[in-house]
Amino acid sequence: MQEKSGEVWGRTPRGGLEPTVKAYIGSLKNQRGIEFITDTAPHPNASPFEARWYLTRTAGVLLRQKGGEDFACILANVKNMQP
Amino acid sequence: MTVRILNYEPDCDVIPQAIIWRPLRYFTLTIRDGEDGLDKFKAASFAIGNDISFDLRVYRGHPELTVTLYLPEELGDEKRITEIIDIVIREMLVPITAIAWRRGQPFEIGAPLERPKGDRLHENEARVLVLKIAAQQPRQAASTEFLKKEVPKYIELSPQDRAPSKSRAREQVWQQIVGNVISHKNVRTGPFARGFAIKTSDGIAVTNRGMAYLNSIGFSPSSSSILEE
Repeated sequence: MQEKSGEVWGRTPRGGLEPTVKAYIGSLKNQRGIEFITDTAPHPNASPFEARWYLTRTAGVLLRQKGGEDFACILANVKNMQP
Repeated sequence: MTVRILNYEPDCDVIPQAIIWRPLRYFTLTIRDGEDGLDKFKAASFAIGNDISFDLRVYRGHPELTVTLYLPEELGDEKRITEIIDIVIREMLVPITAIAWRRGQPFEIGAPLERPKGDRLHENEARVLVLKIAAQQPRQAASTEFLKKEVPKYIELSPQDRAPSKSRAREQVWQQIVGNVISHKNVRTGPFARGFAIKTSDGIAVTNRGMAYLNSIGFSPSSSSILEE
């Protein structure tokens, strides 16, 4: 679904403050998941291994809602790496 | 200060603040499985005093021989984050050379993180590592041969570690260092002089004091040994 829509969504982490997209930086290297490239810069609290995009604290992050739940959304070129 | 093992997950989201070039099993025996919006991970949770709590985690997509230090999301002040990283490094006896990245250090997004140059097994690190390995064995005792077999599971040996020993034929530098820890019984900062271990016929056995020491740095949940003090 994410591949077709060109969007990557993230929900609020357990105990987290708001919806967040979390992702590894770099390629998946034989792991299942999706790979994506986005023009939306991650939040400055990234590490060399991972990046985050917060709904209200990261510029360019969009609100999506489904089933009454809020999601953070970034626009991306998505490649599905599921087998 | 004492590093306490916490048996529960943090009740808040956590943010990566430092990356250490040592595997999770190097730090503790109390490892749990977890999963969040990023991926599955292995983790251990700790506290220092009443104000500091932190996780060490390795996610499925992280290099296996690294661990990432995570602090609560609410901790936004970079100066305080720096202080806490320093405290964790000090109290968990993390060699400075093992710090691959920490908050405040610039990095290029997408560039692979490399192990710090010069990171290798030094004798002061080996003194604690042999205690950690022996503490997991029956009777908290291990032979020198066994210790040498196990050490590579706890530290990625560098080319410097693997260089031939200049004084012991057929041994590499790291093997000589481990051997020195066991054979140099009178070193003031060594495990024997500090009462953390006794020498056995073929290696070492960890004492109650040694187990308490490992407990104080968050490694072992128990601080008892079968050895009398």
